[in-house]
Amino acid sequence: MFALAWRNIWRHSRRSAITVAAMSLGAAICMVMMAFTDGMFATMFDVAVTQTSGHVRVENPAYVETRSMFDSLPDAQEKLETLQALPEVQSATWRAFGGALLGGEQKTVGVELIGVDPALERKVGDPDSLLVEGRYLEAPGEVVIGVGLAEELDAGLGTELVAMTQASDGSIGAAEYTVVGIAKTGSTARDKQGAWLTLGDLQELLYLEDQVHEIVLLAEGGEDAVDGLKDAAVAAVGGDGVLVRTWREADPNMASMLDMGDVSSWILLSIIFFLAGFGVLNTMLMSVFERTREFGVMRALGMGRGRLVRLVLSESLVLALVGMLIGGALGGVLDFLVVQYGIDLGYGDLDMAGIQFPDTIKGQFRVDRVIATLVTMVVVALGASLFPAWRASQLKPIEAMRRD
Amino acid sequence: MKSRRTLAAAVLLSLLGAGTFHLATQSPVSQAAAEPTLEELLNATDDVNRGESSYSVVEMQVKTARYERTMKMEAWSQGEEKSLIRILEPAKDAGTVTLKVDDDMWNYLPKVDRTMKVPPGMMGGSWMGSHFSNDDLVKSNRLADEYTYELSEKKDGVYTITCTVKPDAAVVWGKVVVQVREDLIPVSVAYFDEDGTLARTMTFTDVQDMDGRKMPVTMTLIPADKPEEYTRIVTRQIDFDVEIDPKTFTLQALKE
Repeated sequence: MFALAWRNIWRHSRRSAITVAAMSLGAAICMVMMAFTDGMFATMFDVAVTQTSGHVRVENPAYVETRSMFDSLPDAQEKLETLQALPEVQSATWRAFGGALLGGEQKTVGVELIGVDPALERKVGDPDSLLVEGRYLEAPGEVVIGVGLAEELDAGLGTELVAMTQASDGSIGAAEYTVVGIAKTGSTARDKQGAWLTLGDLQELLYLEDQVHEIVLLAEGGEDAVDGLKDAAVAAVGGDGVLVRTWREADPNMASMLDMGDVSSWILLSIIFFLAGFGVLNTMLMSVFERTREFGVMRALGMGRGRLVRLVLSESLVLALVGMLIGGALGGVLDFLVVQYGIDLGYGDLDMAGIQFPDTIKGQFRVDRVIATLVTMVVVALGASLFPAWRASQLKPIEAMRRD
Repeated sequence: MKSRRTLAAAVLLSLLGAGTFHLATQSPVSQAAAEPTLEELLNATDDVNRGESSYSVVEMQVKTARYERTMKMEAWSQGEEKSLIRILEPAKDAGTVTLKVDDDMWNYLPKVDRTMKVPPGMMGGSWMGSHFSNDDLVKSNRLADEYTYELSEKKDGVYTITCTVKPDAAVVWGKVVVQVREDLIPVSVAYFDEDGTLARTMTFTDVQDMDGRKMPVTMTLIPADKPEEYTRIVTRQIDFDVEIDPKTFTLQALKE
């Protein structure tokens, strides 16, 4: 059967080649586009989740409303230790925040100071990878600032910056820090107004003692284990004055944007294959039409209708499989290029929904996308051949043989 | 950008700095026992003191839901344009200096021996943890210029004047209700938002003779949404028309 189908395909090698080309190009384009959008959304996910809220965030419910330094998380030390011991927790970190003026005699900017524990921060995310200059925090007295802030303050590595703020006891908190790193986080707001310093430095500046404002958790098992982690965290540290939220609950806009991105990838896939499907339908219809006489003869020689349907479907399947190989290979190469080198959109830095995309967006390779693309291609090719196959099987042998 | 120009600015500044309400006593109009005009009453509240200078020592009590503290400070001022305030107590903040020249403001921080300019975006922020904003210190303009005003009531020698913002005025308050005694001593000022809700109230009490002039030495600002909080400024000492070295109001002098 397949041998016959293979021969039939080669009898019209040009037409077959065009069909295969259409299908494989479609598949390759799909793969690249999906890798690209996945890359974009990975950037967004990184900004929203890895750097900010984690999979699950524990904080004082009042802090969500007020963003006031006074609404800290009670008994944070104990909570952090309890949470770190949970099997559902892959890693955890804690942070404190405070508004301050940062700068000097000439130029001063209102910033958000973010107090972090560098060792824990490295377990939850990859803060080193965000630095465009210098290094991440290592010791007290150091500060890492966003690229926009560095530009605004005309500050570089080694610049001494003064922070002034109103401490929690109403007094004037002031301290001097040395810039050791400049970060490009991808968040427009944090790049312009974010300054990271060690948790201890921030607590000292604000007279916060040992208070923090949030504990951020990553789930053992990733995205799928988030709800389980939340339940475990609520059971372990939940109660009055403690709010435990998944990143989806904490940032519903970002969650729906990421979901939309997923949907749009699938829509793209559908459109491309809808068009490719028409191509296959056209090819197979033409092929059946041209071979009316041939099919008539085959029927007259005793070939059953079912076998004829299977013959036509086999031809498509062979075309689709060849298309899958070529498309997969082509898409794979393009994917590699997009993942490795990225695509320069030529917009310069693109700012969308508070996320600063780099001028060159790098793709992200996902096996499920590739499998989905290739399987869809085969299914569409077969689906598009059903009608021509049925047409072929409905031919009346006598009439069909009279045609030429 | 909208600037937070308030008459509290002038009042605070004048209490911390240049001669307060003394135009009231110097003004030939008021001397002449003639009935003061509304503009005179407003200007008295605004505290007109062109080119005058002063040295004063004040106490500022701040009570918020989170903390309560008292600061002692000394202030020099030259007209409305220049002033310098140095914190004397508590020890934690002692030596911190605020310099105001025209619309700019700097803070000198002894802890790090550095000076910081207050950026325009932060002028609405709290000054030294009080209920006054930085703008309250910096901005000085007259009610009579930015608002249309009319007499609402005159009772027991106290004028109540309602000031409504002019359409194009770049001020933050939609309405200001001023109460002034006929001897040009202010009693209270109520500030209303653009939508007409009361935002804060300032009251003037303890009228005393200070350096030969009658003035209310206690000024209390209460935010309307937090009635249990307040910032109170009490003038302990004030010397009018003192000689001040112009170098006082420079960045170089901040550290001394």
